[in-house]
Amino acid sequence: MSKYLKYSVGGKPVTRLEAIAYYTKQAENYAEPEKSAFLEMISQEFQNDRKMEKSRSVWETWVQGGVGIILLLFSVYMAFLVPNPTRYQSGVLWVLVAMAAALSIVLVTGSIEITNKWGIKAAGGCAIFVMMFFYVPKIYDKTSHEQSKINLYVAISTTSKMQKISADFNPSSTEKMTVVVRKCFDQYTGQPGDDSSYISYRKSDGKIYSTEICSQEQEHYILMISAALAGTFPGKRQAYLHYKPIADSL
Amino acid sequence: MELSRLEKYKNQFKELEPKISYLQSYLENASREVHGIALITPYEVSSQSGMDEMSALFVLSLAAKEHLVSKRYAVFAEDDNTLIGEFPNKSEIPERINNPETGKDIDSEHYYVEISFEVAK
Repeated sequence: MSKYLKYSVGGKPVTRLEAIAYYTKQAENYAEPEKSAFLEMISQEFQNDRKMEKSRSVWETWVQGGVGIILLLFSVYMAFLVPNPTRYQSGVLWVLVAMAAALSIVLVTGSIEITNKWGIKAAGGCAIFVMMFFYVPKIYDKTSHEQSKINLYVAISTTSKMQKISADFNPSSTEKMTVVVRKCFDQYTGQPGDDSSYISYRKSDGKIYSTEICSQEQEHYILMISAALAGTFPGKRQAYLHYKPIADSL
Repeated sequence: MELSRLEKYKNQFKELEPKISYLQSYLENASREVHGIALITPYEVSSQSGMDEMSALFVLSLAAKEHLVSKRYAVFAEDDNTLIGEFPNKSEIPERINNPETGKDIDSEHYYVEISFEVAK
């Protein structure tokens, strides 16, 4: 925390603010150009008088900066490890990146001070954190928006064409994927269905959903094949392999 | 000591002309002193001349700008007003300073700074 010096003014020690007030009051008694010259001198002498801010040692700077860089690298690693994060995961990752940037800013010379639209003021590392936390890039917003949709590819019968349905989806939900997929489909058809009447596959690899939770799922492309239709194939896997290329072409 | 360097300020700041003249004679006397005056403070100049402390600080700063005096920050212990240090700029003033009179370390909460001016030798 920064402290300000005390000054001897009028023969006694006073705080910096009292010293400024004392000199300013006397300056007010003068006409121009003396008055402006006095006020400028007061400003130069006292305004940038923040002192005693404990300066970081080289060791502290590098440790803090090092932790920031490690966090930054970890964030990059996570970004590749989880290419389609849920909204919650994205939030956590974003906070992590903001913290990494705030920590590693010590390695960059210069200073920063910001005030956001709500009047929150911050300087230095805090400013970087606030800036990153509140000013989310548009590309990030867009990604988040895309993740709030689920895409269903539904094969009902051999006589009807496969349908593609895009529905709103809460990626941070703790509901089972099968239940949510079912609800989305029911909403689309307007008829409540039976959980056992459809098999839900993950479109990318054919994994069949059973107890998986929405918030754990990173891919939101689902292949739904009616149980009756799947029964015409030797196995569930064959049904998936048959309909996957059709879904890909939609 | 080239006190004439202050003449230009008399034209620039008409209201301060008598004060600048006073400072010129004050500095002339000070430089003649055999042992010299170690430090001149705005409060001291103000007390002796009757000018306000603001203008005393200002004319001394003009003298410093012309290298007739050099600005110093004299640090005093608040308890016993002992001079515990002199620094050419504020950033060099440490958080804790030892008081040679008492042997105790004094932190910034318990000392104060007097803006002073040393007559250039």
